[in-house]
Amino acid sequence: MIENTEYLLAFLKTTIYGCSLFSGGTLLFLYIFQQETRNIRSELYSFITRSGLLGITLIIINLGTQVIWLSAGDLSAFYDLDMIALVLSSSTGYTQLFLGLGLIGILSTSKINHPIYGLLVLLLIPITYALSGHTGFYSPTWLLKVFIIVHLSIACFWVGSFIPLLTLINQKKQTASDALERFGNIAVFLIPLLLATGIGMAWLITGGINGLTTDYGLMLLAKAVFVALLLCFAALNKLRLVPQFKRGQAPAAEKLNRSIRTEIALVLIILTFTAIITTIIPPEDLGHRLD
Amino acid sequence: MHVYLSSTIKLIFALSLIGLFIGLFSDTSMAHTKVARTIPANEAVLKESPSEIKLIFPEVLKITALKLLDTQGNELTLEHDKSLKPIKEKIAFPPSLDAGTYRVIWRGISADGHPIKGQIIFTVSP
Repeated sequence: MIENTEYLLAFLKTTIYGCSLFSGGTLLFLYIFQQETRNIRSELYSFITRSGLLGITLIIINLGTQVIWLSAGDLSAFYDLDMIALVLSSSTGYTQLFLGLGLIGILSTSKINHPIYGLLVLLLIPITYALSGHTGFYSPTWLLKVFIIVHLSIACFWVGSFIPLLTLINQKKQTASDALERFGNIAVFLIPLLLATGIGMAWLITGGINGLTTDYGLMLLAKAVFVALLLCFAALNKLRLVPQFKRGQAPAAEKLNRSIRTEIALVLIILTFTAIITTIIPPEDLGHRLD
Repeated sequence: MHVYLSSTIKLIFALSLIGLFIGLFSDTSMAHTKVARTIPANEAVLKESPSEIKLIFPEVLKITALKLLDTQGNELTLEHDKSLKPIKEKIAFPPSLDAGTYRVIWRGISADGHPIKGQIIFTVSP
């Protein structure tokens, strides 16, 4: 039976994933597309600050929920210092603290405006996720860690493009078509790497075709369906909508706007599947791989 | 073209830095701790109320919660040492149980700091 607390933990995890990817990714986009985003920097930093603060708040709530989960629903555990210390020193605890530090670092980039500092801070996001989750359970662990970090770094870059591109399109900025084209050119190289690392992780964790028939494997397949749908929208943008937008065709901006918003919705669904996989479905579901 | 190359170099730089950090954390592995044996066994049908409930784990861990629930999900009193010290065996003493199906659930932190959970179900026959 799935406990209600686990649903809450999955929801919190989804939102924290979203906040960290959106705030970190938008910052990465700002560094890579400095010229194209120079007129919308303050708006993007405002978005980064809001999503970062939301992430930090949810991390605190998540830690409290962990206390409740570990005490099997006993609310008095909130006042138990030993229990709180135990949560903070657990793998989940230090992962959340590490991620919180990363988000604080991202917030500080509006004051410490140096790309090297920003990139170092951004590293904390994928590394934090590499420290937790199921990649540590299977071998070769080092390869899975490489996969998850590269996978998340690219995902961060992709997710981080949504808000800046939407802002540029909506404000009819001159640089919008340049940014869209350049983003598409970079994505052509990175998306295959994103897919390859995702498939590689799925293969190593599930152990092949047999593992795909478990609950864990079925959730991975469901996630893959939404990833495929996301890729369709990305291809539509790259091959049709961006060229139309460049040619100045009137409805292209509106279509691109809708397409990117759909991509955001799909990313949130994918993050929800990821949170469910890493929170509710235990790796024991793939017992044949743990033995 | 120059701008495109520049952004690609920045990305490669970022990914290289990430790779550098991988080595530092690549040996951080976590595992869920399974229960080795329980008394009563999972799905056991008992002729009488058990005098004790025992959980035996393959490795040391800290049990943070241990509860006995009836079919309706009501919590029953379960006497046990509630300290958070590391153990391999957990013994708890239930009250005299009427006929019915019961669930024992537990939560804990494994030796490597990973949250764990588990449960057994047993039935006391009429």
